[in-house]
Amino acid sequence: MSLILENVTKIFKDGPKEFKAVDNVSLEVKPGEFVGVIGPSGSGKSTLLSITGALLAPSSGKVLLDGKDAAKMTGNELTALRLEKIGFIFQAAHLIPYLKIRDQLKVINIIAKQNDKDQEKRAEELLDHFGLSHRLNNFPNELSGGERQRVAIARALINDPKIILADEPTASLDSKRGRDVVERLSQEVKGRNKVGIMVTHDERVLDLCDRIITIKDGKLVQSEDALISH
Amino acid sequence: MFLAVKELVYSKTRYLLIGFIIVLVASLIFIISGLAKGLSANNASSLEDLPADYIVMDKGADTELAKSTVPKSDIEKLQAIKGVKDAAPLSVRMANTTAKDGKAVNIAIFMTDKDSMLIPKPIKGDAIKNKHDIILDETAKDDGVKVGDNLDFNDIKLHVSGFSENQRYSHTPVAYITNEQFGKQANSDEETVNAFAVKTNLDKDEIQSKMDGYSVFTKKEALKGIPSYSEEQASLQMMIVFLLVIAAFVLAVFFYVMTLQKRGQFGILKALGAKTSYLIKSLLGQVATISVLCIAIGAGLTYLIGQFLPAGMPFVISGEMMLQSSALILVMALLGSLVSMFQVARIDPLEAIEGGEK
Repeated sequence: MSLILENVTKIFKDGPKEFKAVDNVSLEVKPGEFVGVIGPSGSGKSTLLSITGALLAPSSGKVLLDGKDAAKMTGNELTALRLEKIGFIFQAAHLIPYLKIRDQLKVINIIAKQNDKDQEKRAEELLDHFGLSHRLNNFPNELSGGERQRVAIARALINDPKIILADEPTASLDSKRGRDVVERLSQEVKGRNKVGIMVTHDERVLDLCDRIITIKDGKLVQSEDALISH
Repeated sequence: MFLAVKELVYSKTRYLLIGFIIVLVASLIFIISGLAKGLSANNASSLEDLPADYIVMDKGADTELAKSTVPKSDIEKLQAIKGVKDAAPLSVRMANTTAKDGKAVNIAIFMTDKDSMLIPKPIKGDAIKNKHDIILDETAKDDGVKVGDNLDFNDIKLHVSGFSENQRYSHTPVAYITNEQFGKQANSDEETVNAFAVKTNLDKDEIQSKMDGYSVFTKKEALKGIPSYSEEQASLQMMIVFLLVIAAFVLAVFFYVMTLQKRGQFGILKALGAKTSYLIKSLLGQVATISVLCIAIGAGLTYLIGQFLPAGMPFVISGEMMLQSSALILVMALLGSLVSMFQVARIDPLEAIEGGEK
């Protein structure tokens, strides 16, 4: 599945004033490609990610996921799209405080009506893959920040989404843990041929991206291949 | 229900606190309903349990039995109607007498025919054999009257041949009598009674259409004619209504605040692909679970309290009444959660990105 943005613009109204958070952005991300999005605060990075993640409708332009335009879908279709096709990782882990780690993934299966033995096994494998198998029966407040963020990634991957979107996933982590988290994301994108987009402020993890996009004042000003390789 | 139950278990304390309030409110609703029912029976069980369907009074009586006067002979009109199974005259007099120990006793005297369907079966002693016999409600024994006693009513002596149960009128025990002497109105040559009781398959309007110049009342309507009956019931009903509204608001406020607190979580769940309907089901599941549990505990508590109430206290609970009140509380609880439902529906998944809980 590929992701194409065509002339996407998002206008926010602030009283009588209008301002373009995203200004005529076009972008294509191919399967297996991990794209980093950087830019100053308020440049429209998160808005762009929200539009890509079917959380926000663009004012104009097309958001094509496998050729289908998400900008034209209804609320329920978008919800289903997020559930089945998109894995979202937020700035903070945003785990549900009253669910044990095992259940953080299970609830997604329940919502997707796929709560069976296979998915249960998959959840355990995922959590094991992220080094969390000893934490299955703990509540989020018993975990460290890094562990919580890894649970959030596992949760984003449980439905095997084709698109992985991460909004500053390292913001709440120290540099070592942050890098570890991004490495795992990158592995998932490349190893399983997914579309990956990560908004970040953290220049130390940019070397893990295949391509870096810079956004300024809502405009895409630069699109280049990562210079630093590892 | 997965989320609903997991959260209830995790946040036990706060849900226990709200549960405690609901248990108390539910118990209070049950107890007041029991009192209303008990008072109603204490006041008017003779009419509530009257073995008839309608009571026919004169046009001006306005449901008040004692105000009504009808010529006794008109009962033939009633009996002539096709579909009327039985009809009996009924007159009511409030009287007082003295028990053997000298205590004053108030008694409501119900006069009817010798072979009337209205005469209750004695639960103790014998049935009425002659015109000086009465069947008295057993609660008269609290005033010192026993089966076999003779009671003086001015110039007439009456003999208590048996006790009946659930025969009270205007908070006094009822004595059934077949003595026509009591049916006579003062200053009237014509033989009159207060009203006719009718047993029939016909409905009220059908009887009414055949009885010109009369008013036909259901037993429930006739209850209102008993002095103080409506006032007693209305004040208790008002308390129950207030409690139901309070229950709804307490739950509404609680879940509203909880929902406000969980905006971030709801945003995340929506961003992860949960439909609003799923989240609302979860919310309603919580409200229903808490309500049903608390109502059940409240019902148990009421039953327990009922066991320890003093014998003289008018308190009657029935399964039907409990079920009715329970259903009402549950409906009010769910109504109370409407505000939170709208709240949940309005939450934007974008809130997950813009912040929310860590």
